[in-house]
Amino acid sequence: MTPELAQFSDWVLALLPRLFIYPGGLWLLAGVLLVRLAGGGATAIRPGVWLDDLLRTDLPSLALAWVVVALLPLPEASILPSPVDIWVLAALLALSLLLDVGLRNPQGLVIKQTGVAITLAVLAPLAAGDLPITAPNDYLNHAPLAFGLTMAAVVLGVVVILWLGCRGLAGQVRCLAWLGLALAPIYGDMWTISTVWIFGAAVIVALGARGFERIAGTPDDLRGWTRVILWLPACLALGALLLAAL
Amino acid sequence: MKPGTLGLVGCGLAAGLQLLFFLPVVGEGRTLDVALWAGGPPLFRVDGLSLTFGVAWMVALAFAAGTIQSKDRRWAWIGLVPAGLLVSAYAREPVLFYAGWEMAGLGVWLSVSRPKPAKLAAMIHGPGLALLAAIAVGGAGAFAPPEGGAIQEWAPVAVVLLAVAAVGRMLTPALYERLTSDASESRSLLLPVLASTGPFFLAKALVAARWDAWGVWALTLIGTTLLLGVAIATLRGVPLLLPLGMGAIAIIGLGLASASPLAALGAIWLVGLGAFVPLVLALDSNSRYLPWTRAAAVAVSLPGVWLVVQGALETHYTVTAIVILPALILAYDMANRPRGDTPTHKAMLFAALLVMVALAAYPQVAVEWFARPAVGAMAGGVGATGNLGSRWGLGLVSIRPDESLSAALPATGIAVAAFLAWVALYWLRGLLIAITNRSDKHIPPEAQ
Repeated sequence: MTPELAQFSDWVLALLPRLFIYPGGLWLLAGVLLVRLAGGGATAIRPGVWLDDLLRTDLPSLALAWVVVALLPLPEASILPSPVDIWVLAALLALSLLLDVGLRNPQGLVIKQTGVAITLAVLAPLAAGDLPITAPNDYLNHAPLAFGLTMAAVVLGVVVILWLGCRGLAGQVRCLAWLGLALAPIYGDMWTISTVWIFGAAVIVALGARGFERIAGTPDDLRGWTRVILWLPACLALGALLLAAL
Repeated sequence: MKPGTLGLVGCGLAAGLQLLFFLPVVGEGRTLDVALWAGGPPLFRVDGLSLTFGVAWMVALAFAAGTIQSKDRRWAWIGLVPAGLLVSAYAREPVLFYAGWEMAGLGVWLSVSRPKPAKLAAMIHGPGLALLAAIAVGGAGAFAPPEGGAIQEWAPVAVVLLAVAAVGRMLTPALYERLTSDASESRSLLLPVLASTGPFFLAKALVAARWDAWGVWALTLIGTTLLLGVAIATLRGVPLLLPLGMGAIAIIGLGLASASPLAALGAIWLVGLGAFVPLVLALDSNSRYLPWTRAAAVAVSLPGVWLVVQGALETHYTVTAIVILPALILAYDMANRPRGDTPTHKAMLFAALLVMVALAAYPQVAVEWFARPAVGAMAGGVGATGNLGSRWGLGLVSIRPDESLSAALPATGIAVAAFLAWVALYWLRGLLIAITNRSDKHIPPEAQ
């Protein structure tokens, strides 16, 4: 076998468990189930609702988001022969957002702009180092405030996106992927179990979106303060970027 | 014969002839200096950079000409555009480059039904004045690497003037739309090709000499500012800024080129694409295909952007590296809002989509066959590109001097993963529809 074919074969062999078991596949399914349960209650996890969502979802958009979850740099996942940059994963999520036909609604543009702010936030840790493959070593200790701002930007951004109506399967998988990327700087530490953190953040986001809807009402009638909230993820992301770069 | 057909055949032929005569020379790693008469001074130079863009521009113009329906006689002047572009691509002397640059601009100017002649002339020919000034004060001679491997540097004033000329030319499509208000005419399809000559001049300048540290900083700052300006303008609803956004990233890449060959490779990728992608987006005036077209355009740009980002990280321009992706996504998303008043050229659109997806999934081919030879020709200003490796079965990797991996874009591997995921979802959906006896009527119209 030529080295090129061997590389390709090794990649596929390492990819399959990632794609269909962990962190894609079954693990992802559990994560989405949790998000739906927290965000919509028991009715959101009825088989009929799942099926309706699957029929409505834009498949290429969902497939790209799924691939990003499968390629997340989680320490417990099978080792790929070639690592994937965090930058590339963020770019794939942006592509998934652009492809999402579910966003052809009046709020679509605002959702995409918030997606851009989240992209900026998840890339912010790169400003502290020059390795796009992983977040810089000891990032949490060196720039705790920047990490906090990144997490705040991503959590708030995803809450806003869910509130604005991006609640399809592709949107939920993207939500998990963004949270997974934002939490990447802590994966190397001994005291973390990545699953707990990602699922925990996803539940907080889903509950947050539910609560936000009760307070802010529907996004059709944006009031003064809800307009401000729309710009907050971008401001937080810029803050994280500047703090990380210092 | 219609002007469109004539353009298609003529430009296609020009691309084919260049490949036939010059590819064997460039393929062997040689260059060719050409004089117009025996014993005369060499005026043209055939190398990897000139061949890459000579061919790319002719293919892009053929592509654009294929959509022209008009029988207007003024279209005859458009013939000056390919002639001017070829002179610019192969020019060995900066003055000759200027002549080609102006000839191409003149072709556009003469073909337009000039409603505001003075403004239009200033828009098309104004940047040429900055170019001329840059050539006058530049300090570097012909577009050929200095003898004996000596190092030459462009004067700081010349660097700024070069950037002004490049940005001025890149602004042409956006200003043209404002001045002539004929956005629906296919004439505007030619402008992205013309606009891509702006950053190309910076690449050509790097054949002869490098930027000093101040020049690297100045060009990166100008490119980043322009990119952020494009992002802010698109947020405010200004359309058609995509060529400008791609050009801004190319300026960043070319600015960093003297410090990082990776950035030069990415810039060449983006300048080449800059001639095609706006054309493809302009072909699609039907909102049904627009998300696909945009996503394919972003996907095919990503390897080039990734390379520029690696260059920026390598040289510690980290903030620039990070803002590039979000700004690009904004520029793409706002590009070419559906008009619905012109037909979508389906066959050409699907062919272009296919090529874009193939290049995005297998960027190794374009990097090794086009970008690397082009950057190899920029020996006066860019170092060796040995730290970029192509893993033919997986994608691209960036390797540090100590052989450790600094970045990886396994594009082919990711494409396989996306395909597997899509097939799995497709079959799952089909299976569930069959089991539950639901029909496609349950699927909302926007998802079909």
